[in-house]
Amino acid sequence: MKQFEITEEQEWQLFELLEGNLSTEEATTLHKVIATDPALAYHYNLLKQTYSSAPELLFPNTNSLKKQAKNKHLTLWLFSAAAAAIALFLIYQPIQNLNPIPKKSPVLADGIEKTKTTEQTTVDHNSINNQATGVKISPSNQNHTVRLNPRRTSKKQTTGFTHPLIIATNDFHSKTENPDQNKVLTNSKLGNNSSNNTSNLIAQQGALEPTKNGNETTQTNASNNNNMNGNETPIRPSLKQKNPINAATRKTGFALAKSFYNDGKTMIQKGHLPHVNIKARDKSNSLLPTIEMGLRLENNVIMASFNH
Amino acid sequence: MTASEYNKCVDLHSHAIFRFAMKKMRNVDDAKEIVQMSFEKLWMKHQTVAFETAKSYLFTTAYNTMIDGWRSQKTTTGLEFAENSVEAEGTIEYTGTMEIIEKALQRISEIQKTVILLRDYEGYSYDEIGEITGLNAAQVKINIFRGRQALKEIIGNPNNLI
Repeated sequence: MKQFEITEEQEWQLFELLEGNLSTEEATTLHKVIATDPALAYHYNLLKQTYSSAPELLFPNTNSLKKQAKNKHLTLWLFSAAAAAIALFLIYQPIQNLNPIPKKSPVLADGIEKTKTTEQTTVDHNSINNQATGVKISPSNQNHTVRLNPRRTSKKQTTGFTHPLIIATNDFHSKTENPDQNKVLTNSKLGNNSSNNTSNLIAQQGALEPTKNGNETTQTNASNNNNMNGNETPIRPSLKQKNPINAATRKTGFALAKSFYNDGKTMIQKGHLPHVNIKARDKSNSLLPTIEMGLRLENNVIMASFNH
Repeated sequence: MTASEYNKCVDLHSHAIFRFAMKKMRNVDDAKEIVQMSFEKLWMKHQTVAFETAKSYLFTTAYNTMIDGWRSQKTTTGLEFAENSVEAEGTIEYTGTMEIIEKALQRISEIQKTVILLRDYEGYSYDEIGEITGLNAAQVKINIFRGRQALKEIIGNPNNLI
């Protein structure tokens, strides 16, 4: 090989030629030189052999590398559907054997129109004494009136998203059986503990507070109040508790979930068919959006059976 | 890059990455692993990597993955691995030019081998090879030149392989 030695400059020229870095004229000139110089031709042939082509190698199973695009809307829909299914299962499952759901709620039949028309409704004892509410009021208090919370009776609230019906569905039966509570909540002038269950319910939730001149918890409107008892002073909402619903629902996430479950359970036990509302609150890129859940009765009426 | 573009990249570049890895690793399983890791990394970054630059990204990722693998391998098996390699090479009989070149590629430095493979197999320019290997164009060109000179010496005298 010593007889075919070339300079480094000639090595670079051969390299540039094979790399394709020379112009057409330069390449033609160099090819003519190579044809006349055996040493250059020898090194040119050796260098040319170092240029190899790609071998026939194929990656097996390219499908294993591929990915499938995720459908964001489908994911959101599936998530919402799953959440609704779980919620319904949790609500219905424990009580389905205990209290079968009637085909039509007796409370809803005449309760819808009343809740839409007025904030102050005269208590209809016939409708209160129903199986759905379990509230029994004696005939001696038939003119007794109850002021309903306007939030629960306004159309906007009833048709919109509602979350949990804590005021309407708390377990007031057990509380009214408590003698101490009855003592506080009972209208002493009337002298009948069982007559004020409706107001008990409200008072328990902080909507009302006792008046200064007595233990009465019944809030009456002026005209009806005279019919019942002239000396009775209407009870007004506390300044600290002007918004009893917000005050009652200002809870932690766990407490809200628990009350959600209890609300649904109570509604079914009282013969209603609750609707579960699922609403996505956060529609950003997250695959697990924040959702809100709430309960509604049929025809978007919240269960507030004590005022019928 | 969308998912469909990513899948198109798989069809277009998976074989090239596999060839490149196969030449460097000389082991099918290792080469497959390199390809899979490269595409996994591409998928993880598919929202930021453009379809046009995906090939360069894949080769860069594959190259860096191999470098990392060699570094960890050297720290664990170092001398034992080198001795086994020498013993294995001593028993090989070289019959054709392609086989000689294949073996000669294992004798040159890794960077020279990498730039030559990228140049010959993928037809990359000096700049593109520089992006993958982290060198500038002049360094790439010099490494290709020196690598080819080393291969030429081995081809001219195959006894240099023993």
